[in-house]
Amino acid sequence: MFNRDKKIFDDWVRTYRSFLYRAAWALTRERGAAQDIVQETFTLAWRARKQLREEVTVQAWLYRILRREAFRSLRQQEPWVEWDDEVCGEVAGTPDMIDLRIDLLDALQSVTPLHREMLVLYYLADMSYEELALAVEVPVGTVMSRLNRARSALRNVMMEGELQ
Amino acid sequence: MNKDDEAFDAAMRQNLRSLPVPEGEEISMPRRDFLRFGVAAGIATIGVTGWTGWQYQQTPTIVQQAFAHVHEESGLRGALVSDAGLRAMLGMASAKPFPGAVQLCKSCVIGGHAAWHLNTYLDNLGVVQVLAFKASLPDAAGDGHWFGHSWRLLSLANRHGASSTPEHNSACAGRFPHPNPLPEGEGTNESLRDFHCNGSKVLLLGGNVAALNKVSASIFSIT
Repeated sequence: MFNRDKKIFDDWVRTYRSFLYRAAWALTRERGAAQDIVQETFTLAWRARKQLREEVTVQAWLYRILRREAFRSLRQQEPWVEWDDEVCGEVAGTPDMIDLRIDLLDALQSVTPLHREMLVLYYLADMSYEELALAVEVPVGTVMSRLNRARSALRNVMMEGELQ
Repeated sequence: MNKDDEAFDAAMRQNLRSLPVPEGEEISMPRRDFLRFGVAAGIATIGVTGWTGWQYQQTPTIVQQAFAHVHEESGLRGALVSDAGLRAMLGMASAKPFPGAVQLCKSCVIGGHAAWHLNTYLDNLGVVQVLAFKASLPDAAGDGHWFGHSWRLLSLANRHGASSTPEHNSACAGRFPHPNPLPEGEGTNESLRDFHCNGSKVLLLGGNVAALNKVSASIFSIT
């Protein structure tokens, strides 16, 4: 029984850890917080695994838990954290790619948290609108309109950055 | 969606998905609740078992038997014995009053030893059980606690300075005549005499040490 549980848990971690970590990072802008959030997400999810219903995918369900933790962390977080160094120091890639990532992460912080999470989910996870709706617990129509506005907002922010 | 949108989405997707994930950082599986409960229950069981064993080991057998006896007779009540009557029975008219209201006075057998069983109710301190054994017991005097109750085994010096011989008992019987009316049965009189005539043991059981102190001070004052 323990081995079976351990296998399921390990499968969850192996499959969704990267997605959750990146989502938490993009949502909170802080890598340390992202690590804590991901650990907490897996802990809470595992303890509440019996509440996982068939109509919700594991990924959407894990994200539901993560977003609550992330928003809780955002409320406690310092309003502005310098983080260029920590990203630049560890991210592989050309300087242009690194700059683009930093711009993107900065731009994500410029949109509202609800738009931000919609973009994070849209770009990070291959979820259908229905899955997105389940993940953020809103109707499908809301997801579509919110995603549309979020993309426009992000694009505007990125373009303003390029012009400056 | 036009090509610009698609290119923008592709670039965003690629950049977000290339955010580095720390390697080697372990996500630990939460310990199972029932496992934690099991460990806690195990520790509690060991603790309770150990504590119970320690209590049994530290408490003389006669005391354990006395507690069992008192438990069996917990619902028993006798007629209240007046203080003057009690002191007259005990031949201690001049001694200080026996504390509390004596509720039960009877002859009992505890662990094969005949004893005079008396209990007295003390205001604010509860009931104290007094068990005066007729014959001397092998257990040494001492005191302790037994599952939330206190006990004290007293060795009473023979107030007459003589061993318990038939002649001596007879003399005692003459000195301490049978109380009239009898508090509880014939055996009580015999026990009352023995209580005074023999150097015997008296066991006190009560809810707290203060109650035992009060009763034992009174008993020593009459012996």
